[in-house]
Amino acid sequence: MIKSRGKVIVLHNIPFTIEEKKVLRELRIPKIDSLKEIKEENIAGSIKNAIEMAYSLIKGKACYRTFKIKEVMTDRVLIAESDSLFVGRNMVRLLKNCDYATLLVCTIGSSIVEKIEEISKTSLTNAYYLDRVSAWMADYMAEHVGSVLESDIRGNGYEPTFRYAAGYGDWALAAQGEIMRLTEAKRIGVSITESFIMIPRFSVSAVIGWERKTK
Amino acid sequence: MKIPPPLSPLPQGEGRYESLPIIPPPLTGGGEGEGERRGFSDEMERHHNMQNLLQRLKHEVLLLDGSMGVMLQNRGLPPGYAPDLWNIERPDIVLEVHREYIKAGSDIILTNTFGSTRLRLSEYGAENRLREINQEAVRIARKAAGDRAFVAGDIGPCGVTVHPLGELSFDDAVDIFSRQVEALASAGCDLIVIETMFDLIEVRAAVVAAKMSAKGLPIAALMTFTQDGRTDTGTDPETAATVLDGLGVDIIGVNCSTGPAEMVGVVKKMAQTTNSFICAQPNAGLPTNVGGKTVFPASAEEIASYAEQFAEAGVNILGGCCGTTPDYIKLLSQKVKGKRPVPKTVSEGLKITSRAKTVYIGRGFPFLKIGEKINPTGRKAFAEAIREGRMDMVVAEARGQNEAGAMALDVNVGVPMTDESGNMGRAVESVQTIVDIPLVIDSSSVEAIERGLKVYAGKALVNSVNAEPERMEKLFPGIKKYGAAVIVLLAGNEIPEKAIDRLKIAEDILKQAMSYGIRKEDLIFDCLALTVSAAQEASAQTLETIRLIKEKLGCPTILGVSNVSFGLPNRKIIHNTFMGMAIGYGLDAAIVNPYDADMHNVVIAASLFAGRDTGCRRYIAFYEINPPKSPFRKGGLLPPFSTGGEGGLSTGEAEKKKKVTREEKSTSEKIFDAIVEGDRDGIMMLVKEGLEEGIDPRDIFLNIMTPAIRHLGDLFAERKKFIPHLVASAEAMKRGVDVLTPFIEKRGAVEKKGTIIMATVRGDIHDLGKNICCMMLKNFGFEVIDLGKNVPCEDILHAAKVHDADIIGLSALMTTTMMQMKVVRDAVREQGLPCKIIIGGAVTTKRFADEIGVDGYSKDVGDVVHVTEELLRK
Repeated sequence: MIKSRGKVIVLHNIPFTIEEKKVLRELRIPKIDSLKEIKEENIAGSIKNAIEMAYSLIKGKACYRTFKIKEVMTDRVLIAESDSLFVGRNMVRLLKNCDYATLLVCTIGSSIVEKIEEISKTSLTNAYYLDRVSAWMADYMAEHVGSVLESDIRGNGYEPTFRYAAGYGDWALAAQGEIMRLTEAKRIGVSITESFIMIPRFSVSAVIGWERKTK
Repeated sequence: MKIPPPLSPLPQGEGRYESLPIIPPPLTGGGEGEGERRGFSDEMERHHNMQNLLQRLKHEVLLLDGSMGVMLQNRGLPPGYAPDLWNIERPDIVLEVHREYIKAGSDIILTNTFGSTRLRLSEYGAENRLREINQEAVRIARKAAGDRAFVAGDIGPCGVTVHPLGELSFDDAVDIFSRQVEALASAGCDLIVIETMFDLIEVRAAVVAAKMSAKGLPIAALMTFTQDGRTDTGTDPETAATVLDGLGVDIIGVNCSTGPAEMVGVVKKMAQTTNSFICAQPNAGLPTNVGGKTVFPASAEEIASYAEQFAEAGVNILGGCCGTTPDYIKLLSQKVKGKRPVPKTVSEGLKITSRAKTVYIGRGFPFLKIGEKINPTGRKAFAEAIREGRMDMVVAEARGQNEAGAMALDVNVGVPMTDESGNMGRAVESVQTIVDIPLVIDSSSVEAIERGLKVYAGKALVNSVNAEPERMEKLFPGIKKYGAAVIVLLAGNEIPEKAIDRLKIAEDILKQAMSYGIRKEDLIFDCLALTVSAAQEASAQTLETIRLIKEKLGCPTILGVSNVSFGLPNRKIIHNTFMGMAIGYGLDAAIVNPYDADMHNVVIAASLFAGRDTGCRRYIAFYEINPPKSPFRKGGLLPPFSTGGEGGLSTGEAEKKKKVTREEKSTSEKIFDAIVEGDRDGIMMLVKEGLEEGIDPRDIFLNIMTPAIRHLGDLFAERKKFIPHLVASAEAMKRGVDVLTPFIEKRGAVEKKGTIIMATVRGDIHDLGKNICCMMLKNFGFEVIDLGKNVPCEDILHAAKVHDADIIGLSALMTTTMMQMKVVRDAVREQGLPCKIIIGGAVTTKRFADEIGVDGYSKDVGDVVHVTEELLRK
């Protein structure tokens, strides 16, 4: 049974933890795993504050839906709901051995974006740290949904492909319109601008394929 | 999809099985002796049957059936078609499958109703036939079972995630499940089996519904665990078993998702956690999709080879899930059917859980420290946040206490004139999202407690009930319904003075609780710590009460210790000492301030003497993580033996030397350090000090701060410092420059290095990175005109002309907006403007910069100054 086939699954209040190690990587500080290893106490303290603030502000939400793949062409992959969504050579390469594809949209909500705006008026540094924590956590939510999906995918005898997002490779960002429509992303408060930028800003959209096992 | 009319329509809305006029459908293959249900149509027989099942489970391992789906597919069920509809469209085939399983040895068969909740049926437009589909399923199963097997009304997930993880409210979920349970029960099934559940809240809703609508029938609840031994929502087997046990589920278990190898361990953990019966239904291994068909690789022999392991792990009912057929059941049956179940060794004690983990309370377990800080009493700012419906302070306290070592958290949001129920719901939702320790739901409002219990995924502890009959009447039904544990205050209108009187209250409340079906092991008694300055003898009575409760009732005890020290100086030492004494008397838990390090020390040390730390393991482990502070560090005493430090100095001396060295530095050096270290708080004061000392402001800027920031740039280039350091240092410098600027300007205009127009291009609405670049460039003496974000090309050109700009800096974050950079470049060339263009931003690359023909590319905030300076030099 494919839980999300033909219907949108919506998740709210996704439980989370914010790992210092991941935040440090997002801040592009290599090699160290803990804030205690940062020599400058004021910098470590500010990053710690950003993490604590993020705990109060993040509202993890996601929506996803799985589609049966109708046909794989040379330049696009067709599903019953759309001929124009999964286009490009990279997409064909991703989904050519797949029977299904799941579209997902995740967000950490708008409160944290507003807070960054507010803080940036007094400290760009603190705003930057919170911005990077947020960037990691948007990805965290996508990873969370990916792992939930993975058990469904494997439980149905498939392997998950990697996560692929519009705006990368030759999958145009213009696909965001259809992604939002098909996943009913407005149910988790996500929309797009004319330039296809997601609002709230720390949101992730992607596709994961259900690949037939080779053995 | 058009649904054909039923073959054997049943009337809607009948309340009880015995009143249903069962019309036999034109079934095929109904063999002699297996036919119609005999003598099951009254309540007495059903009750007898139920007892029969639970009695039998005490003495023998029973067999469940295997997959229904695969059997129906093999008989022509089209892919994607709802198997449940075949109860009315092809009852003959459903009957045939049931019969095969019974023939193979199944003692219990599941009705073909896995997807027969209203929501699931609505996916096929069949929601109006819910009752008919479910009742037909029971009738078919009963026809196959006769009196040779029990008929289990099967219930799967409702198809929508339940609040707080999803959109469906708990009450609506209960309603959805209730309708299916009622239909199944009224048609005469022998038990309800809730299965393949991955979320604790949803399974709780299903069990609550089953308890309400199938009163008296045994209930089984099975969750599905992934290969890592947790459900999709992070619950481990012990926690699932504890929560389901608390709800009064008779048979607890695991099905689907994995094969037998992974499932045996789950069964073992569950069997060690609960006295309820254990059921397991493995898949036939992990599936592979072949040609659009899901193929399960494990053979019947392979699955059956695990039968003994399941039995040894403590299973009472064994069956199969996806991919299994009657062949599998037959082999399993030959291995374990009728065998005596293995006696269980269950960890006794009160258990409470979060969604993810279980905490034991009682003799021999670690002393439970419950954080007390999520409470507005006496805390104005906290109360104000609650009043405004904000949960930020609740979350901050939850995080802080969790990090400080609390093992559970008391949640109290009682602020007068507020919606306490709503706030409790929000607080519990927020806290369980960010910590994974159990919660204590604390309120004087029964409604608030109930709201908290509805949104809480685990088994909560409720704070509290007392001897007032009205409070018990209101609270106990909810405790029972939602499967919580409860703190019992040993007081009514008054607190009895003597321990023996408190024990009497405990006995009375225990009796009352049990009359509501609440088990003794779900109560913990608060022996009441009174203020020692007011009544010194009272403390002795509290300790004696602890002893009596343990001795006479064998129940765990708890105290809120802070009260005991009220009105005296140095309170911490008083209530911590008292807590240590109470632990010696057998106290199991306390509501405490987890930020108090002394409290942790007292608990860990007292536990050594109270039989809570075998081999002193926890004590040793605690001090490995939290080494005791040396008394020599603060005071003037010298350690008897130096452990050595820097350059042969003792640790104390080395630290002292460092401090002196820092203090001996000149103000100029301190300013330099503050910039390099990104000390945004200290820099302004240091710059002021420098000015007061008479250092020339230009000197501070040009000869101290600028070299400092360049030195940091060098460290960045050497990968010794990173972007967060650059940003912090840039801001420190900016703050320093803000102090200096009026003094520098007094001495005449400062020559700027060049003028830069900075803008995030049209369509892009985020500009934090660009703002940081602006700050850095200003620090290095550039005149920066920041146009902001989403800036049209014409505005950029206009500003470049007006300010006679040397450089235009453009930022873009999206592939859709980055082409605006080319638009600007083309316009600049077309109009013949003399300025150069530099670009940067998340999606830009050096290659892109070359392709569109701009003059410079900054890969991040780390090299914007360098690239800009280079451009100006050219």
